[in-house]
Amino acid sequence: MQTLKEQIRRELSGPSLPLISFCVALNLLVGQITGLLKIPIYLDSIGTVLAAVLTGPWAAVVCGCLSNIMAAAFGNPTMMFFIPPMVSIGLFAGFIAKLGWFRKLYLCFVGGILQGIIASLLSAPISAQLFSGTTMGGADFLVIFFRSRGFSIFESTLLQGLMMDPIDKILTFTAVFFLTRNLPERLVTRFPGASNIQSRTG
Amino acid sequence: MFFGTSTKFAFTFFLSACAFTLPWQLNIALAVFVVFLEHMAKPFHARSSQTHRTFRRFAVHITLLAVFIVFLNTVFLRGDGAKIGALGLPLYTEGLEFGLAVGTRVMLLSLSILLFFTSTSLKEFSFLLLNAGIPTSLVTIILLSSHFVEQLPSKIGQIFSAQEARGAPVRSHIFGRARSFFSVLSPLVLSSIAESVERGTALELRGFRGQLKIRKSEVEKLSFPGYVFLLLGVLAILWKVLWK
Repeated sequence: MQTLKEQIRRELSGPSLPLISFCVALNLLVGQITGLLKIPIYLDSIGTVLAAVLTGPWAAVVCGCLSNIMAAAFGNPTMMFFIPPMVSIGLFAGFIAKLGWFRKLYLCFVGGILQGIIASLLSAPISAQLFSGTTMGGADFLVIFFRSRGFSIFESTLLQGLMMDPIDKILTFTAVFFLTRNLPERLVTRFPGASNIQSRTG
Repeated sequence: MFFGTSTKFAFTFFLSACAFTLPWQLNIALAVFVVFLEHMAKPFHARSSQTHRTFRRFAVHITLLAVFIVFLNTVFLRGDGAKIGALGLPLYTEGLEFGLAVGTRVMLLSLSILLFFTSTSLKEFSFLLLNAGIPTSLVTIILLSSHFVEQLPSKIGQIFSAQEARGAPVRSHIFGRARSFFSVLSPLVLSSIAESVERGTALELRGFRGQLKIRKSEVEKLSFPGYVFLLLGVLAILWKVLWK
């Protein structure tokens, strides 16, 4: 049984370092692709989940934290305060990846729903307390809609999160399932999380 | 240095704390001051003319966004406040006050964080992190990420054009576009993972273990104003948490 320190060192060395960097950039840039294709989803944690599956939970936590810090540097400072939900995504995705949930599509669906609920429960108090529900995202309209219906700031942000996050996370987890399934085995075996997925030989 | 990177960081922390604690009138005044600093104060000058243009564009963008936030809240957030209908629209005082508080907070926060990043080079930022005791492996990840961020848009553009040339429905209806999203993402992930393996091997071959020590001459100590900004920032947060 490897200790926590050993596990962290294993996840943050060798090819995992450039992979985490790529996943950070992927988190930041997938928004750009979705914008280009004009799809009404965010998928801004796809890199974090990919890092969790290929390397492990601690690498995913690092990836998530750095993504939010860099997103703040690139013009969306509110992201910096949403590090706790990102940490939960990294830890949860890493945990279910170790259980083998990324080998079956229906388990990715279940994971996405659970993750969406956890993320919305964590992000609602932050959004309500610090930004009164306004986070410079497209979902702000929903928060204002719920507020105009008489809900409190916290209730509005929570309802918005529970409506949007599970859908977003199901899509994210499914995307990672298909992406990792198409990866050749010779590449995957270089990463600590090779056993988490069902890659193709070649 | 009087206004080195660490002092600028402390100043940004102080401004961010102000955004959450001060009333909206002072937040607007501070936001104008931040724009003034970017233009007039040498330590806060943008690193290049392109960065300067980005800052200016962002300042306009965030101001418009703040106005939009105020407008939306004034129209939709009724509360118990008085109605101040104008131009045929039902406007409410409670929504106006709430919108001004949130809009100016987001504006000051965004401008102050961007001021720090537009006036600080990646090298200075890396030294700041190393100085603060952040492990070298994490700083390496940040540096590599910025490289990927620079490189990926052109890669995405290439894949996008290639898939379009192959007849992928990148400009069709919403489901077709959603499907083609994966046809863009899949080659991008595959090529980047292959690149990660190569880079990882290169790092290991060069003996990278993530234990870089910085020379004493490169260590920048926090100046007196830096300590003052940090202290004021902490006091502002404490005041907000304990007395409000």
